Amino acid sequence: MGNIRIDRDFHEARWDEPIIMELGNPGERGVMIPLASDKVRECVGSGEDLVPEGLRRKKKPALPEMSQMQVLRHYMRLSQETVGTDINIDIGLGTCTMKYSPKINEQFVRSPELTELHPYQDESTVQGILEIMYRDQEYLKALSGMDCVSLQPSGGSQAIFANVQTIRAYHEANGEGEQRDEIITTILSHPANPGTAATLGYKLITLYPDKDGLPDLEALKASVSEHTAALMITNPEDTGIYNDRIRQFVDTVHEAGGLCVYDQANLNGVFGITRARDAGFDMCHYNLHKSFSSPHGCQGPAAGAQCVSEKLKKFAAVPTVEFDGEKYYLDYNHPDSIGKLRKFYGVPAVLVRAYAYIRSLGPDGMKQVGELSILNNNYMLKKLLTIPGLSMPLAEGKFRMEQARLSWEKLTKDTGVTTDDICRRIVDYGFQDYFASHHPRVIPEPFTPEPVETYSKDDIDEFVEAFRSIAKEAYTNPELVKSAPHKAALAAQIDESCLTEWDKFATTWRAYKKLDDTD
Amino acid sequence: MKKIGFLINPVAGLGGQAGMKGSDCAGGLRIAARLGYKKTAGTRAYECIRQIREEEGLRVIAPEGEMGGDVLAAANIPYEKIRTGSPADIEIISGKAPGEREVTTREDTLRCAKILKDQGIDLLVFCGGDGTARDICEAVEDHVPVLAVPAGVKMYSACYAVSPYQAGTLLRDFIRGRQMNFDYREVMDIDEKDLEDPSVSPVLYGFLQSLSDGIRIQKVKEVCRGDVSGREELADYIISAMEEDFLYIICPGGTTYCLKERLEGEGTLRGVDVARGRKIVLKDGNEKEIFRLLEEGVPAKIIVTCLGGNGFLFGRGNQQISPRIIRRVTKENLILAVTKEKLLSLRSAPMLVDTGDRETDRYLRGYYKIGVNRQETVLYKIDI
Repeated sequence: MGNIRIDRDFHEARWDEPIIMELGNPGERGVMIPLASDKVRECVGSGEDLVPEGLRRKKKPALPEMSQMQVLRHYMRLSQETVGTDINIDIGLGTCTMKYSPKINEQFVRSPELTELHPYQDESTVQGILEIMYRDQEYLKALSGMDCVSLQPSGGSQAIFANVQTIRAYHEANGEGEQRDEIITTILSHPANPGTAATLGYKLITLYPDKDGLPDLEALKASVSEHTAALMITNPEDTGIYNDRIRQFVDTVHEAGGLCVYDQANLNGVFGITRARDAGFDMCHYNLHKSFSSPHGCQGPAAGAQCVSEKLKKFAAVPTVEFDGEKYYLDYNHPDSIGKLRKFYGVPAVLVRAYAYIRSLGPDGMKQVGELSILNNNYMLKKLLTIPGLSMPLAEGKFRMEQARLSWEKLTKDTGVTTDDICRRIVDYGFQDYFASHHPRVIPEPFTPEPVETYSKDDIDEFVEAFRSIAKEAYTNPELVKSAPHKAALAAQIDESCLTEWDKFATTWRAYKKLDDTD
Repeated sequence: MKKIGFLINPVAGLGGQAGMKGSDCAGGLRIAARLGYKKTAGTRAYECIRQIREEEGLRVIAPEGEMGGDVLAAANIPYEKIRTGSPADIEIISGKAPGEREVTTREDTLRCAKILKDQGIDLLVFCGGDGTARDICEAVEDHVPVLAVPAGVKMYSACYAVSPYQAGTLLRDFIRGRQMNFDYREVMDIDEKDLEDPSVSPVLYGFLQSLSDGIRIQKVKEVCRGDVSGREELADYIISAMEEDFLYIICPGGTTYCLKERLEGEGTLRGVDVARGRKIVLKDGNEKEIFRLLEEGVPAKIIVTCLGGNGFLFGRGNQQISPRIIRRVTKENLILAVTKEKLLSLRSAPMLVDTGDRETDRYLRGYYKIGVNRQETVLYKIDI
């Protein structure tokens, strides 16, 4: 306990910095681009002439005009107004697997051997990166037990999307495309599962948890039919409860002629321990930016992997990377493929980090990652659950895997302080705000921590003590918590109605200005 | 030796099938009786008490007649009559309904409950509805542990068992000395004159110390926050699938009202309405009126929602949908109008039915597909 300090006087920089669209003055310049020489201008004409008249803007874009120094200062200030993962204990951001990403791997990613590559280069000149991708595929096959891996997806949701497309391609090839129009998923699965299935026109059947906190197996049995296209399921779900009946789920759906898809985005707890194929699944996907390291957050950088069994190989996203004994090449020869998901071939920086990470751990090391993440989590839970007002609903008392969904419901009833209040208050202690829950909130006043394998015992103790301190504040001085944050970059609470009310939505500056004008 | 007080409000639930939303007003009781609806509280009390016929090591104290004694006698359970100290047992009288026996009033309930309290009972088993719970709360406060057998109409109170049968098994376990909790449970009620006002919610009147095992006692009705857009989506979906040649028996509740508002001839908030296609043809019907419509032979469906928090589909505020109506429509023609948010408020517990007929309750058990919008279905369980 010697290193535990929660009373340090943390203050985030508070610059009250305007957004860039509000900065600068007409005529200010960052770079003065010289005019082209007369000869060039003679040959090419003006730049504007290259754009067909109908496509030209009537007015110049209202971009901010600024010098380099002002731009630099602006972004440096913004960078000081965040709590980056390298300066805080990011256990709170559960389901994101915020592990330490070895800094040495950044050397590889930032080396000119990678940064100077261009996707239009001839295959013969990019054998190195192709070899890394090929080996990534092979490792992921070994980890999942699947027969084919495509590194096309830009992230987890796109990998799930690819899996749903594969479901459709498979049933269409069997002449059952129209008949099998239902996809079964669970209320605690990542929303990308029902989301992608709905986007592709499937009807959804949702299973709720039973008394054990696991998806209701009897409900599954009542829902499968000749209309079942597939089951899309996570294990463990965000609750961290391992579904030991998973094989029965798979068998039930297979008997009805459906496919089974395993969402393995949250792999850490079963890393190197269980394999999707061994549980009978036909497909799975990985988020390479999570368990396989890569600093991520705020939308990236991500990389997904689609993994399929032999019978679905011909449908997988192209290209895959293959080796003919002499050279590595991009293989588009999957005759019934769902096609490409995006431009080019995957996200090389994340793929290189994943490769380095797998190589440095080896099979035993990966298993140890899984075991340590479970151990850390259960140590943390044991301590967290001594905090007044905090509980772990659904299968109370049962061990969890690498994360858990907890509830501040009692504290809220006792004090009026909600999980959203605590989430803002924890920032005053120098921690990143935490992840409450995916939607819908199955568990009231939720809180989802995940103390991956890289946090030390001291880190976990410090994290727990910070929450104990906030709970104490809630019971003695609730207003302090309800009015938080006090030391963050934004000392005031943000009006979040712009996120939930349609008429306040503005995804561009122009839309925002319009709203502003109508106010 | 456990000393158990036993008390029935014989008129509880009388207004249920008659569509009266409660049985608190004497005039309403008279109308119900005139319409030919029978008292049901005694039958429900019997369903509970027969579970302890074989038990030993207990003393039961109860008033005579329909407030307790009749049912105990029918179940062959010996009991001691309540005495007030005077040679006579308490008088049970106040007002008459045509064609019926005398009806009791809340004063009788209050008086019996106070006497039972003074006799130092270990547990008071009472049978009634929200009004009865309020009376018991007034008479014994939280000084006497209770077991509340549901026999009323709405039953918003959280002190009630999920069904008379489960009340009986709970009582049996208590007598056998199983470990039990005594939880402080809410006593709630709506003033029956406010029933047509959609903004009125049940009011908390106090707490009773209820025998509980966390499963067999019902949870309090919860208002589901964030439910509004889900309700509208659900209403649009159900209406889109309504067919001209069907009768739709639409149960009370905020969720179904959202749907009724969109039909021709707007329905009622707390009544059972019947629509043919998208047009309401019977407003706030009673059991007999609804059954008569069914007898015309038009195929019918029942649109029913469950109570947030405790999950009741039938038997809480919609007794007009009687077992014979459910059997005639069949469970395949139930449309469960339940939003995802409301299902979450059940916290993994099943939806419940307490129709008053155990066979019908059993018949309704199983998994149901609940369409929540045009694209999504939830599989969820009904249990008893």
